[in-house]
Amino acid sequence: MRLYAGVLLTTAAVCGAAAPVNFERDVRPILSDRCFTCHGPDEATRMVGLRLDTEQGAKAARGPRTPVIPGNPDASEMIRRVSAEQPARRMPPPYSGRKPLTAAEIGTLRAWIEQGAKWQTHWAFVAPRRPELPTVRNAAWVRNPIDSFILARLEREGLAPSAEADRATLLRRVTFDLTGLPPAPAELDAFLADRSPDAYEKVVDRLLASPRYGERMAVDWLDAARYADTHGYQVDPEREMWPWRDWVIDAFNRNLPFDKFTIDQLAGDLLPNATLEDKIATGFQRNHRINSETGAIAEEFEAESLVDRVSTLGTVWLGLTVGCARCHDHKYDPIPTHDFYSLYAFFNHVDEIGNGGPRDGRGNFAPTVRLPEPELDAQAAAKEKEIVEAKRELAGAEALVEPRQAEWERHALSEPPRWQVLAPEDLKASGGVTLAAQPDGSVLASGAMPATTFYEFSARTALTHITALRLELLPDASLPGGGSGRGAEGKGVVTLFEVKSGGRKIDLSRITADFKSEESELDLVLHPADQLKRGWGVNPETAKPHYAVIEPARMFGSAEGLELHVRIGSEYEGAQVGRFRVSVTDSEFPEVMPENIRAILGKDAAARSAKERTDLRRFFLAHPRESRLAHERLARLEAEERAIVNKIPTTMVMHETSAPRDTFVLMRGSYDKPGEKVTAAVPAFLPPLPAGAPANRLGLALWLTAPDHPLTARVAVNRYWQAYFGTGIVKTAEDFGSQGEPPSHPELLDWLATEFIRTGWDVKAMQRLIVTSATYRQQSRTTAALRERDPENRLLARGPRLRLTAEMIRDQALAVSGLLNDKMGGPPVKPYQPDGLWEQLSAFQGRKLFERSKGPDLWRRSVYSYWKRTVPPPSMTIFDAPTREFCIVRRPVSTTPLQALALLNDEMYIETARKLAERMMKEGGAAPAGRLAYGFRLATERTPSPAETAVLEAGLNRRLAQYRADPAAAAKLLTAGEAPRDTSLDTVELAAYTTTAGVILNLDETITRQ
Amino acid sequence: MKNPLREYRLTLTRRQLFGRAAHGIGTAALASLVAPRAFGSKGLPGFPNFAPKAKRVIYLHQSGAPSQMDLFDPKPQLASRFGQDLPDSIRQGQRLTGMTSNQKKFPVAPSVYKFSQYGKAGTWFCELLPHMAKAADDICVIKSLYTEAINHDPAITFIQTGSQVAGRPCFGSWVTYGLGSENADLPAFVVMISRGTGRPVDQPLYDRLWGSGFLPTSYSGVKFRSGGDPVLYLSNPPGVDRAVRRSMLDDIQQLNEANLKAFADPEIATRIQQYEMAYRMQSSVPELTDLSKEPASTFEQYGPDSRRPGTYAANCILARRLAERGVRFIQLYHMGWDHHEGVPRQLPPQCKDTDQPSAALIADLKQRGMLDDTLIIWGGEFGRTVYCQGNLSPESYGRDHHPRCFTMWLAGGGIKPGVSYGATDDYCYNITENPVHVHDLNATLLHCLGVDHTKLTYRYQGRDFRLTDVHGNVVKDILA
Repeated sequence: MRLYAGVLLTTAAVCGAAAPVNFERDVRPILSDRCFTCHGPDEATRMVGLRLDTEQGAKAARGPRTPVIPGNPDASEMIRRVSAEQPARRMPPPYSGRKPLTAAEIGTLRAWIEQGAKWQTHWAFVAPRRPELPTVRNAAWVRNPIDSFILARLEREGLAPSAEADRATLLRRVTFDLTGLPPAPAELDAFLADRSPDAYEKVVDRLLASPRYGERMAVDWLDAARYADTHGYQVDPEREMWPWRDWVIDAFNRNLPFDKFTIDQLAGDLLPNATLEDKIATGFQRNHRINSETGAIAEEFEAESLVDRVSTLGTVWLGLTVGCARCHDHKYDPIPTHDFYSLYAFFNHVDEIGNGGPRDGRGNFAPTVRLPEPELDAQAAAKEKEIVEAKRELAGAEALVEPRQAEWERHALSEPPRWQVLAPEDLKASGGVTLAAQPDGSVLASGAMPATTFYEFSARTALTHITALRLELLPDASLPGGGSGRGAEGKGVVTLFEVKSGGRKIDLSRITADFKSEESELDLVLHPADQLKRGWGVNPETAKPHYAVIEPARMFGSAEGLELHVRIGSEYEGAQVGRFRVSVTDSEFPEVMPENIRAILGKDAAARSAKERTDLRRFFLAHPRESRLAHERLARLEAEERAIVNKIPTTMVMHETSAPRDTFVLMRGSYDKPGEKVTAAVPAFLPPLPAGAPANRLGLALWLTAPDHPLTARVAVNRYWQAYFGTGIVKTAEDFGSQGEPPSHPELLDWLATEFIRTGWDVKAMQRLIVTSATYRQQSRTTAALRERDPENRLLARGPRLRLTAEMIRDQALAVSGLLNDKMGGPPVKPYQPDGLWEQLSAFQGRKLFERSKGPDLWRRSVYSYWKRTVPPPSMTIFDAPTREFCIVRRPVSTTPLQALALLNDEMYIETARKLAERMMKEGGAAPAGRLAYGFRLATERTPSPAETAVLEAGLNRRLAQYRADPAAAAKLLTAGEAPRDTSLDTVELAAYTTTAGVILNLDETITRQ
Repeated sequence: MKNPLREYRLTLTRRQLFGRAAHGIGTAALASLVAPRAFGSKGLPGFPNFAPKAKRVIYLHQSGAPSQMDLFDPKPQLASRFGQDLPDSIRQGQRLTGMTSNQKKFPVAPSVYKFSQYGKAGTWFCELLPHMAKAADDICVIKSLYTEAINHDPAITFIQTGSQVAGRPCFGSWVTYGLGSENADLPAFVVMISRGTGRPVDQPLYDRLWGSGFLPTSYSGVKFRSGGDPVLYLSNPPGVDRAVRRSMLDDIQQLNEANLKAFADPEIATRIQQYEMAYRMQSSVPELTDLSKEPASTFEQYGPDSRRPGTYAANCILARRLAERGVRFIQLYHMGWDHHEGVPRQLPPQCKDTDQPSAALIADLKQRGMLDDTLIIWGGEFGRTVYCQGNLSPESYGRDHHPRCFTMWLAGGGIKPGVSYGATDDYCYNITENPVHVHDLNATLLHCLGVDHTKLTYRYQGRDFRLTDVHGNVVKDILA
């Protein structure tokens, strides 16, 4: 509920004539919200040609009337209209959907006009100037300049700051804020023992130097960058972007300055001598979703990708809702669609296909880079050499057999392959079906009719070079309608065909049929897709014999003959195979002749086109035994090479096309309605590109990070502030435009922004500055009176009390249980989640089923958890993590019963409670009170009060009694999770402690940093 | 604005008044005094804006898009145009999906199904919908819906959220945000999913479709599942029975109360309430999803599938049970309607899945006197093309996506029953009468709930967003 419990503390309460009105703080928000929709920047919807977003528009005479006459509110048309008695004359009109002005708001406008109607450019569009530090009465409280600004405001409001939080609370707060984890007991002890005046600063420096810092900072950036491990949209197949995620973590840890951080991610590929790292950084621009739905129109989703990039750039760097200008001129900020598409043009030169195009072996869409894997690279190179050799051999073999083509052509259509029927032995069928061998070698089914059944038999063959098997579906008088299947009208569908020899599956690669029903999907017979029980059927021609030819990837056979084991699936409910027969051949041309080849053969040789001659020659050359062997060898080597290459991680990057594309304004944002042509340019109301900067992404990045840019630094430091205080100085972290909330402390924001630039965009220094301020160190405990006075804590007369993020809650449980695996980087892992989540929703290529990680991978930090966009990990989303489908810079905070259920019942939390219980029992001494205090302190960094200990102990004893009465239940509770259990501990006791550890992990205090 | 802390203190007093349960925070009766505020909340002040006809919604979304001209919108005259190319005068340059844009011809594929008229309005139904046909006088069939998107993800996102772009709240989230919850023991917005037998592996769904977008996460739909826990993490782990769970909760709540006293943070009070609601859900949800006490007549009414958990039919029974318990928004998704090929093979099983249970749901609610204040919606995200995708034979054909017209039916609270509304041209390609845009539909549905669609707004990124964007007109002709 935090989101909309808005109290605009900054609005001067009631503006009498005496109170000085500030245009930016008091007036613009009113005009923007009530007037700009019809009298703002959007030319298309501007009414009566009046605009009130410019001084010129507001003060120019319009015939006899003038909206704003400085010094004369009574004569100003604006005042007359907003306070008109008649509804028909009153502004804003009811049909606009905007609320009428309140008396206080009208008073503000009057006072402003009375005081001279001073106009200002929107504060956020003017470069920040470093303000003087305000003087404060209680100068002793001030630790750094932040405090001067905060205290000055508090003193104006007649409030005093709160006392500094106790050391344990402070340590827990800052450790979570900087590393996302709780402090270790030893760290707490060290801090409590360190009486030096800079003990706290030393802690902060230790935390900033920890590799955990980068992992913590990355999470917010991953939200903003809409990072995930799948492509999103409904198909949602896998992608590989973790190299980019690792780049981000590393960038924070090595304290890459924010300007360089920006330049690399926007334009790393365009840097002179761009390194692999520089290119990987540009993955930021490829993290958006990509729609590879079969019907997706490439141009449509190219436009969606570009819009996403521009909107994300707007939110993350400009703090503006640039995306609004996609379809129409922005209603509140001076961003016409023309300027939106000028920004879009910066990104419209990438070698990419809007609906993805082919995915590489790692699931990525071009352009990509390959990560260095020296060993695999060497293997691939070796394989490549073999391939060159195999190609040479193939050419030789083809030259050898080529003279036989003419002879083949003469008989190709008249001589069928020589098939040898397999005599079936050991006939078996599942589901109560009876199989009977017939004299002609065929097999007839009867008996039960289960939904699915499998037929199996063995047979011997003496052939040494089997080139194909044939499966015939044969009609039989005993079957419905005299057909070949057991279903209605003799329908029968083959859903699977498998052959084994010597216990090994023969690799079957191709199936052709003389006839197939319209809904058949032949390939599924050899490569069944999960759940898709279709294959080869012959309706409506069920009463005729038909056959399919199945070819192995490689000829097979043995001089001693072979025992074959055949398995045929019949899984299409109500359409079971009735009578069938299997044969083998060593003919060089076993398959059903493709239509095009048949047609070419039917033509006079002289009448064939060049293409037809080539097609025919290719077809022929692939078949004779000698060249077939060479083909097969080459195919095998190529497959092996592919397998090696597919092990080498890739990641998606930006890469400019050689042929730049034209960019047009898209009318109403539609990809198929191009309007005026535009070129890459920055919005006109902001400073121009720096002198000499190229008009490409690199220039754009240099522009954003130029010291006089009014937005970039403000927007960035505001997000940092938000991470520590829960709310930014500008509450609407994503919107610094005229509809955004004005800053609670404008001078502080500007001071921080200029400080950020002055220090060379030093990110760690900025974090240090904030968390070492007296403001940050205040206790969050407060009085009801102050809470009522400032429920959202915008004035900061107390410290921030915030619920931990989804990642922190999980990581903390892992940390206090001792399970946390602090391995960094690499491919994502799949920790515990309830069964069946992906299966229920997914299909097609996105249907790679969830395979839970094992062992220590279950206990990695949450930043490494696999993020499937259409089904994100519920333990994260339940605690307000976004789906990562689009850019988010401000997570909501909710409180729901689902959170309680997750913390109480998720397998992972039972497991961590059990491990925490083991620690309590082994490390917490022998007495229950000591053990409980130990566990409580691990989770909260404080010793429980006697009353709290009493509650915990009473609860423990209750459950000890419960488990003593039911030791089997105790044993069951201890089975949750993969982590091995310490069997030296008593089962009943450990179970009771596990429940109490669960109590501790569920406390509001535990999942909050106070 | 109310002060949550004071509210909480009030309930403490109340609790003392009622007598505190032996082990900490107690009875459902007490907890219900506070719970509706927290999960799904009480709704916005001033909502509903006017007397609502419907109090709750059952939205039967048919994912993949059913073919309107094979089910509701017969075009018998097309039989004589079998295989003829769709005239340009009809297609009017309409864009095509990536699946048929390479087709050289667009041959007309007449439906193979027989249609008859039912009810006092002579509403058309195809032979695959015998049960719905009997419900003709209870429903309003709209044949003139149209949308803007041509592929599944954007289209389903559009009809559910009013925007093709991901990130807006879905219909159910808007409704629960505006109107709040009426049941302290169950979520206000529940989602259930079933797979179609016509096309078992069909268009996927995604959590976002019932997500709250920029609204607080507490307005997201809660997915009820047929396998495993009906609600994620609902069951106690093995070895924890209800007594142990209660004992743990008592500890948690007592310690949280101590913390509440120290910090006076209303968030803590909310958390205490939500833990109690979680506890109540552990019995209310299994009670809800347990169909064993339903009489045999229920299963007869909803059809044989209704005994199998997770089917559309079983979900329809659950929908009725949820409605009985005052759950505000009940969203079903039935997959399997995306018939690009083999319509005559894939369509009948889909109809078999849905026809009897949908009709039963209407009859069941009616018999219980609940149809009057329950709004039922049945339909997909767009329509399908009259021209054939892939191979065409007199017996079989496929149909691609078609945004320019499609059919849905509505029933119950606020909707005029026994009506057939709107019309399409001879090819079922363009609307000729009473077009209803998706925004118009959503405005109308909100109207039935007593909500002025222009007033249900949420400020985000500097503007007031709403389900109907800046569009939408209530279709007064179909209101009761």
